[in-house]
This record gives sequence, C-alpha cells and structure tokens, in this order.
Amino acid sequence: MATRKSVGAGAAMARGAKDDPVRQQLTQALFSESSSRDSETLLTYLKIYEEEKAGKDIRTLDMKSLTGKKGGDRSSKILSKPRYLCMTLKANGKVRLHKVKKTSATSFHIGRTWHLDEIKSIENVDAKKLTVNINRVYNWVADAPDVKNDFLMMLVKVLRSNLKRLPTLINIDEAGLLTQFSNARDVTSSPPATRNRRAAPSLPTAGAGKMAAPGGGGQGAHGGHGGGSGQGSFTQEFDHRLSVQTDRMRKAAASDMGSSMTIATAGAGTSAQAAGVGAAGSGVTPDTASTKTHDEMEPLDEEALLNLEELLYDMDLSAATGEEGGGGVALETRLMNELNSLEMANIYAIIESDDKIKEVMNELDKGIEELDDMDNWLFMYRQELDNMGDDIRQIESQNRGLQVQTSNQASLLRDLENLLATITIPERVLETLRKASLDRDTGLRELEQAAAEVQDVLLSKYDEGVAGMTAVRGRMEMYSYQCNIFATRLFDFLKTQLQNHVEAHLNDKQRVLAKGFVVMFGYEPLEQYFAKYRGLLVWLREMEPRRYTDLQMLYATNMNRLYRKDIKEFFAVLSAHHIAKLEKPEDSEFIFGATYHASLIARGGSVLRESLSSPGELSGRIPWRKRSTREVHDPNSATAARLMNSHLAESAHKFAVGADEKLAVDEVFSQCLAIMTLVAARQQNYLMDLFTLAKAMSMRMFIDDPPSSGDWDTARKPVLDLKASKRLAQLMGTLFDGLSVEFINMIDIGVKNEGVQSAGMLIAVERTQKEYVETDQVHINTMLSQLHTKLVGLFEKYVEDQLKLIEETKHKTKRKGILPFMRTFPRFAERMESLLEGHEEATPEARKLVTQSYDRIIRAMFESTESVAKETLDFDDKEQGSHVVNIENMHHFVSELRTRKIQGLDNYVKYAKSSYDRHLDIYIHAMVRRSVGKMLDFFDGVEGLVKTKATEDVAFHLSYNKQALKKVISNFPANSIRKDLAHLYKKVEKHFASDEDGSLVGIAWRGIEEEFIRQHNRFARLIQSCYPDAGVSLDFNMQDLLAFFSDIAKQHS
Amino acid sequence: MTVREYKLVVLGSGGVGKSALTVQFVQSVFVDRYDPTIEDSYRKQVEVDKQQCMLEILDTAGTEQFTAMRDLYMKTGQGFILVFSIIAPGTDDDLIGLQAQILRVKDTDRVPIVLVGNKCDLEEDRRVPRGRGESLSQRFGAPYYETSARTRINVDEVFHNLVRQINRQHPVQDKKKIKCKIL
Repeated sequence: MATRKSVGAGAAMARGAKDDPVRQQLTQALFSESSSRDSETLLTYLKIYEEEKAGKDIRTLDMKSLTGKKGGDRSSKILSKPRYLCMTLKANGKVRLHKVKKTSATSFHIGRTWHLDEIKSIENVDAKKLTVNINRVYNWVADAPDVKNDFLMMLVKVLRSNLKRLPTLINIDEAGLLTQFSNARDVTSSPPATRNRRAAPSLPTAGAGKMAAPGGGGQGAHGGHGGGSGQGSFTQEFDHRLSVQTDRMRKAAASDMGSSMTIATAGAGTSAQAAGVGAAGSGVTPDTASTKTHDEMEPLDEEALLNLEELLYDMDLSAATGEEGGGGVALETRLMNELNSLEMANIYAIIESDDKIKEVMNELDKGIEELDDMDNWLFMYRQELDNMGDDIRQIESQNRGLQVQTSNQASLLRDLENLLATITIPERVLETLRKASLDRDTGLRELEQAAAEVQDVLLSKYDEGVAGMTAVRGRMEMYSYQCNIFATRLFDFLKTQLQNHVEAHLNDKQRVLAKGFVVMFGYEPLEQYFAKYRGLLVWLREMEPRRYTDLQMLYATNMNRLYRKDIKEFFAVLSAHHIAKLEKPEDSEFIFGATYHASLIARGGSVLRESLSSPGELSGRIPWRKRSTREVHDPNSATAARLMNSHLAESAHKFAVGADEKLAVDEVFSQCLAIMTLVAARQQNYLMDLFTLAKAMSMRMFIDDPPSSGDWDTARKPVLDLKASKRLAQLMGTLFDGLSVEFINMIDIGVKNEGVQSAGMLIAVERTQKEYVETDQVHINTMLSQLHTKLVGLFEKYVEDQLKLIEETKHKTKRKGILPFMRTFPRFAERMESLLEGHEEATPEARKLVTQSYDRIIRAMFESTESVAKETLDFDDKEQGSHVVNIENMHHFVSELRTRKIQGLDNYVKYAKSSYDRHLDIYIHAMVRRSVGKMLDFFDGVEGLVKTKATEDVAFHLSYNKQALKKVISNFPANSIRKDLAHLYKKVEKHFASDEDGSLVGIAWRGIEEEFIRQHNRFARLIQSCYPDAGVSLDFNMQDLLAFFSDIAKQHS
Repeated sequence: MTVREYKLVVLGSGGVGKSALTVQFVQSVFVDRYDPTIEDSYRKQVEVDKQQCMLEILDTAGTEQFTAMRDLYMKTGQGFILVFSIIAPGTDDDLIGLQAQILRVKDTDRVPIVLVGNKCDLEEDRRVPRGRGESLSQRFGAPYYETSARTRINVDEVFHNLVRQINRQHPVQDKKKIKCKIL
C-alpha cells in the first residue's frame, strides 16, 4: 500500500510537473492557432485510458504484477490506450471533442473528432470512470476523479451553452460538482487531517521517490512540501484556472492574441492544480481513489516504473527497519554512506577495469568481426544454396514440362499416324480407279474394292478438329477429285455401253417380226451385262447422286428406244395380220337393231365368226383359259429364239396365233396385255435391282453382302417409299411411253369395228389388274386403271347405242315376228357370260357392269316389244296381232335364255314367261270366241243368271228360254263347226307364220282345242242344269269335236 | 362436306431433307438415301382442328440446277415450308433469299411460312445454333420448329401449323355469302 501510494504521489507529482508540457505539446502539435485558418483552440484536455473489451491483441499493462498486493476487482479490468480527450474551440465558435493519441514524445495524432451534438449520453460511472455514448459507447477512465470531474463540468457547461438539447446525463450532478469544489475549499480541517494521517507515512517515500528521480532527494522533499503547500492554495488555484479557461474561451472566440502568455499561466496553474487535485482526490475518496490513482498512473513508462520500484523496494526495507522519528537521520547517514561507498567502488571499478576492458573489448571486437565474417560466409553460402535450390526447382519443373511435352508429342504422333493410316489411300487404289478396265470382270472387282476403300475414307466421320486440318482437308479434296474423275469415267463408260447395246439391238436384223411370228423379245444379254455394274452404281449413288440419277434417266431413255420400236412393231404386225375385222361394222351380230340373222352365220364367214359363235371354240382361243398360269416362256418360241440368236440366251414372248389366223380384237388385246405387262414388270424388277433402289448401302456393304439378284419375272410386293416408287414409276413411264398408246389404239380400232369388244377388253384389263393390284408395279397399275376407265366408258357407250337401236325398232315398218333385238340379246348375254365365266372373283366390276347392261337392255326390249305389239299393222285383226307379237317374242326370249341358264336373268325370264302365258291365253280365248262367239255369249248369260237365281228359273227368262236355246244351238251345226275349225287353223298358222321353228302354231292350236273342249263341257253342263226337261243338246258332241281336231292335225302334220 | 385443298411448297437448299420431311409426313417412312429431287408432289388428307384438309405438297428441287421453276410454284403455293439443316451451315442463310423471293412473287408481306431446322436428331453435329433459327424466325415472322425426319419429331406439327396459318389468313368462305347473289 505504501508503495502504491508513493508511486501515485510520485506519478501525480510527475504529471503535475509535466502538465504544462503536455498541454503545450498538444497545442503545438495540433492546435497551434496560427497553423491554419480553421485552427482550433484547445480549451481543456483530459488524459484518459480507453477501456476496451478484453482483446488479446491489445497490449495491456500487467497491473497484477504492480498491484499484486492490492489485487481485487480492479485487476480484472483491462485498461490500455492512454489518450487525450481534447475539447477545442473552432474559429467559428463550434466546440469539438478530439480523441488524441500520442505517437511520440512530441507528436500527436487526432484519432477521432466529434461535434458536441454527436454526444448522445454521458454517464458518470464512478470517481474516475465515465461512459460517453458518441455513436458508440466509450468507456474512459481518467487519471484522477477531480481531473475528470473538472473536465466533466467543463464539458457540461460547454454543452449547455452550445446545444439546445442536452445529451442524456446520467449520474452527473452539476450542483454536486460545484459543491464538491467548494467543499474541498471550505472543509480543510478534517479531510486533510485524515489525508495527512494517511499520507504521512508516504511523505518520506514521496521524497525518496523524488530523490530517486534525477532531481535528487532534496528536491523530492521539496516536492513533497510543494504538494502540501499546493493543497492550501487549491481553491484559489481552481478559481483562477476557471477564470483563465473562460477567459481563454472568450479570447479564442475573439482573437488569438496573447496565447503564449495564457498557456504559460495556465500551465503554471495547472501544475499547481494537478498536485492539488491529487490531494483533493485522495481526500474525497480516501479508500479507493488514492490507490486507484497510483494504479492507473503511468502505464506509459514501464521501465522507469520498474527502476523506481526497485529503488523503492530498497528504501522501503530500510524505512521498515528504521524508527519513525530518527529514521530520517539514520537513513540520510546510511544513504550518504552508501553513496560514498558506491562512488568509491565505482571509481575503483572504472580504474580497475580500464585496461582489461580495452583488451576484452578488442577481443570482443575481434570475435564480433570473426562472427561477422562467419555470418557473411554463412549468408553467402546460404545464398548459394538458395540459388542452387532455385535452379534445381527450375530444372525439375522444366523436366516435368519436357516429360509432358514428350508424351503429348508421342501421343500426337500416334494419333496422326492413325489418322494418316485411316485417311491414306494407297496409290495403287487410286491408280486402279484411274486405270482399271471397266470392261473386264477382274477389273470390275478391283474397281469395286478400290471404290469401296475411297468411299470408306471419304464418308467416315471425323471430328471437327481433324476434319479442319489442312492435311486432312487436302487429302479429302484430292480423293474427292479422284472420285469425281472416276465417277465421270464410269458414267461415260456406261453411257457409251448403253448406247452401243441399244444400237446393236436396234439394228438386229434377226429381230424382225412377220405374219404368224409375233414375238416380244427379251434383253437378257443386255440386262446381264449391266447388272455387273450394280456395285459401282451403288457407289455412284452415294458419291455422285446427280450422276446416278442422270444415269437412271439415260438408261430409261435409251431402253425406251428399244421398247418403243419393239412394241410398235409388235402391235403393227398384229393389227396388220391378225386382227379380224368385219367388212362392215354393221355386220356385228351384237348390234341390237341390226337385222343380222342366222343366214349370215350359215354363210360360213371368217375364223372370227366361228370363234365367236361357238362357245367351246371361244374358250380355246382366249389365252387365259388355255393357260392355267402365266407360262410365258413358250418352249417352242424360246427354242426358236435361241436358234435365231445362238450366242444370246434371249427369252421371247410369242403371241399365240397361227400364220393365217385372225383373232377377235379383245382376244388379241388380252394376249397383248398379258405379254406386255410381263415384260414391263420384269423390266421394273430389273431396274430396281440394277439401281438397288430397295436398299441404301455403301460400296463396302455391297461387297461384303451383295444383294441377291432377285427373280425378275415375279411381281414383287411394294417395298419402296413413296419418293422412290414415284421415281421408279417415272422411269417406267419413260421406258414404256409407247405402250399405253398402242393399247388405246387397239381399243379404238376394236371398238370402232365392233362395240361389244369393249366388254372383252374390259374383262381382260380387270383380270390383269387383279394380278398386279398387290404388287409394286405402279406404272402397270396406273396404265391398267387408265385403260379400265376408258373401256368402261366405251362399254357404256355401246350399251347406250344399243338402247337407242332398241328404241328405234318401234318405228320400223316391220312389226311382226321375232324382233331383231330379241334375237341379239341371247347371243350378247351368252358372249358376256362366256367372257366372265370362271373369273367372277377377279372381275366383280365387269360383272356388275354387265348385269347393269342386261337390266337396261331387257327393260328397253320389253318396253319396245309391248309398244311394237300394240301398234302392229301387219295383222287384219290388230288385237290378235299384238298378242301374237308378244307371244312370239316372249317365247323366243324364254326359250333362248332357258337353255343358256344365265344367272341374274331369272326374274326377266319369269316375267317373259308370264307375259307369254297371259298373251297366249287371251289369244286362245279370242280365237275360240271368233268361231263360236254367239254361243259363248248365250251361255255366259245363262251362267250369269245361275249365279243370282235358281237354276230352274233360268228357263223362264225371256231371252234365255227354251226357244232361245234352240235358236242358238241351231246356229252352230256340227258341219259348220268343222269348217270353222279348219278356217281357224289356217288363221293361226298365218298368225305365227314368222315363227322359225313353227312350234308356236302347234302350241296355240292345242290351246284352242283344249278351250273348245272346255267350252263344250261347260255348255253341256249348263243345258243339263238349266234346261233339264227341254230335251235339247248341242249339235255336236265331244266325239265329233275330237274328230274335227284330229282331222285338222292329220291334214297339217 | 367438301374437303378444302391446300397447296403447300417445301423449299430449301439441297440435301437439307425436304423430301425426307415430306415423305415422312405423307407416308411415315424415312428416306435414308439421298436422291436429288427435281420436283415431286404428294397428296395427303389430314384432319386439322377437326376439319378435313387435302394437302397437296410440292417437294421442290433444292439444288441450284433445278431452280428455274421457282417463280411458278411460288405463285401457286399457298403456304411455304422453309427448311434448313442444323448440321449444314449456310443452308440457313440461303433461306433469306428464298423468303424474299416469295414475298416479291406474292407481292405481300403476309405469306404463311414455317421455318424448319431439320436433322435435329444429329445434335452432336450441330453447326447452326438454335438461336440462329430463332432470330431467322423473328426476321421472317414465322414460327420455328426443329424437326427430325428420321425420328419423326415435329413433322406433323410443321404441316399442321402451316394449314392453320393459311386458315387464319384465308378463312373458309361462308357459303351463305355466295348464295346471296340471288336478286
């Protein structure tokens, strides 16, 4: 405790002594009034220690070692950073606060500056500590409570005078501050006493402290007294200081005059005050404040403190041992002694050590030099080593880089070699492409291989980097160029070959057709020849699609020349020699209005007639009946062809016809159709295979797995996509552009000659359509459907024409007998049926069309027959005549069609039969009435009466009495009946004179006979029932009647 | 009910897949070989927005040597499909000239057009970024589709969109209006 007190006192003294300089230093360093225009005047300052939150990096004074004995709560507070809190007045009257840091002995640095209005609150924590909230909370501890209070009071005053609104003042009693000072002045009796009592033991210590200081012991004692005397004048000092300070404020605001003087005075005042404050502070708070003051004294000068303490320790020891009263003298003596002895020892030591020191110093110098040298060497060595280390590191990294580079280059080389290997095509391959013969099989194989190799390289995918390399690009260009050249060579070669072959065939004299030798030759040698180039064509498609397409067209146009010629010749020879023609178109037996009749057939006529009129012969003539399947390779003709062209295995489709034979147009047409569709279908299959249309493949694929050359003669299922099949159809259209023209010409010729031919041709077309409907033969199907449409139209026109003819018959003069259309129809129906027979499933449309035509024609015929019959003029009895016409025609219709059993016509036959029956019945009745009309009338009347009256009453009726009966019976004697009957027969015979086989007369006469017998029986029955008692009977009995008829029959049998 | 007919024209540089796109749409088959088209036309009946439409699609020649007929079919065509290949740079630029030609021939700036970036199944070989297609699309004022004729991506959408555009521009004439001519 004593130690601390002495320290505190010493520190206070030191501060008191230094007070002036601090202020001066501050002023000089920071606030010299002349330094600048906006200079400030220091009003007052307070040395503070800023209390920080415990931070390890903040250097703190180890108070524990100093305050070890006191210890306690304070030791936990960590205080540091001595600062000066300066209050200044600016020229414009603004007061500011600065926190100033001492950077060196004389220089200061302003840490922070605050305006007064930034102060939020000020809290007076305890005697030395205050908390100010300016933006953040600052905990400051002052050296001494009175200094702090002094500053605080100044601050509050200034705040009051400068600010409208005061910051929050906590625990600050302004009045208390003032009174504290007055108390300090007034109460001088007891507190100083206590203070003195307490301070008393410390006084010598303070003196000793001072003595230790440069000033010496005497001065220290004086200082202690000075401190005491300072207490007495404290209040005066304070008042003076206040006045000085207010004075200064005023002055500073007004001018900067006399500042140096003020500072000097203020400095003096403050020094005195500082000592006083130190005393007053300890007086006010005797227990803690004094110690605190000591504790927090001078953290700045640690070394000085330590020295001091050491010294004091010695002093203390001596003080503790010494008495209170005589201690001073003893101490003095002792000190003097010590001082003397020290001095002596010192001198001695100096004298003693002089030489040795020199020596030692020299040695030391030497040693140091040596060490320096060593140090240098070591340094240099170290440097060398460092350099070497650097070099080694550098070399190592270079080495690593080199290794990476080497391996990169190696792999690059490998890659490049691989690449080169993949993209390099041996020269021999290119040579092959340039030179190898396209004409020989070995050359072809070599070429295919070479082409495949080039294609592999050109079509394989490279990534962008590789593809972009100049070397690769260059090679690719080179190969493309080679490809191009080869493609051109191939194209030109094939073009020339194609033309040559076609020319050769065109000029082949052996392929001449003649009468009876109508052949469609095949082109197998040509086909085989070009099929060899399939592989290269595949290649061409991938590499040069345009040339490939051009080649297709070239093939089509060239082959077209061949086919066009062949087809033309084929059709020309046929139409010149083998198509049967009617001398006059009207001679056709299928013209419903014509008066064609049996006599013409009887004449014999041409082959055509025979072939058309006898169904057996007909079926033999029509090719599809003769041949169950399409055996087109007629062995004979094939042999013949082979004989003709012994070196070429050519097929030939021979038209089946004798040398002088003529065939009906529809027959020729159907044969042609069969042959031509076969040829076209084969050609299309060949095209598909030649150009490998069905499959996309590369040359390599072609070589590895050559697509089999399919059977060209069998029609195929559709496999192509729309575009390819369109292309194929287009090629086929070019190839066979003459075909459908020829067919249409033939149709026109045939139909012009005989309209009914359209039906035969239509059926032929429909049959062929059925064969190709599910195949890929688009071209054939298109052509067939065109022909079909045309033929349907022609057939319908034919039917229309016939209907017109049937209609016209009404207006012809001849109105009896069998009408011409009635004769034609059965032949027509028979012809249609024979054409359709056996192919019902294949030709549903034709069947429908034919059935429709039957329907229309028969309706027209019946209608026409009725109207002709009604208006017939060829009979004396018109009514009879009409019946006769009906009977004759219906009878003909029924009897003709019954024998032919044509399906779908049953209804018409039935209708005709009923019409025939009806008309015959009417006719017979009429004929009977003609001879015995009156008798019939009479008995009809009797019968009528019987129905309403009793049978007995009939005889009483005026007109039906016995006399009347007798009169009627007498009118028809047996003799006249006989005559009448003979006459009647003649009439009937005359009616049916036009009937060819004469059966109708017999039928009619028999009907008449039966009617007579029936009537006779009726008459006899009525006479018996109505006139039982009259005893009258007919003049002729049944026997007579039968005799009359048998007589007539005998006469005409 | 009568089936309305639409004349659509497919345009673009050679080898971008016009025919493949068309055949895929018409027949659902991918044509895997290159066979330069001169001119093909296809017909197909489809239902778009519950309406039967007969599409007559003209597949044109992309290659320069067959381009003489362009003006003619541009005149007759009602809607145009402009195709480029996303793996062939430059085919997109060719469309700019074609589009300008269409507008010139049609003498209007509202022509139904669909822009198509074909071969989108070859994404790894893509050389024309999608953004390029979109900017062209904005420039033409036409919708943009990325299609694949091989895998049938967006194929129907392209044609249906074009039909809708034509419908929008030329709505079906009301039959009543025609009948009102009776005086």
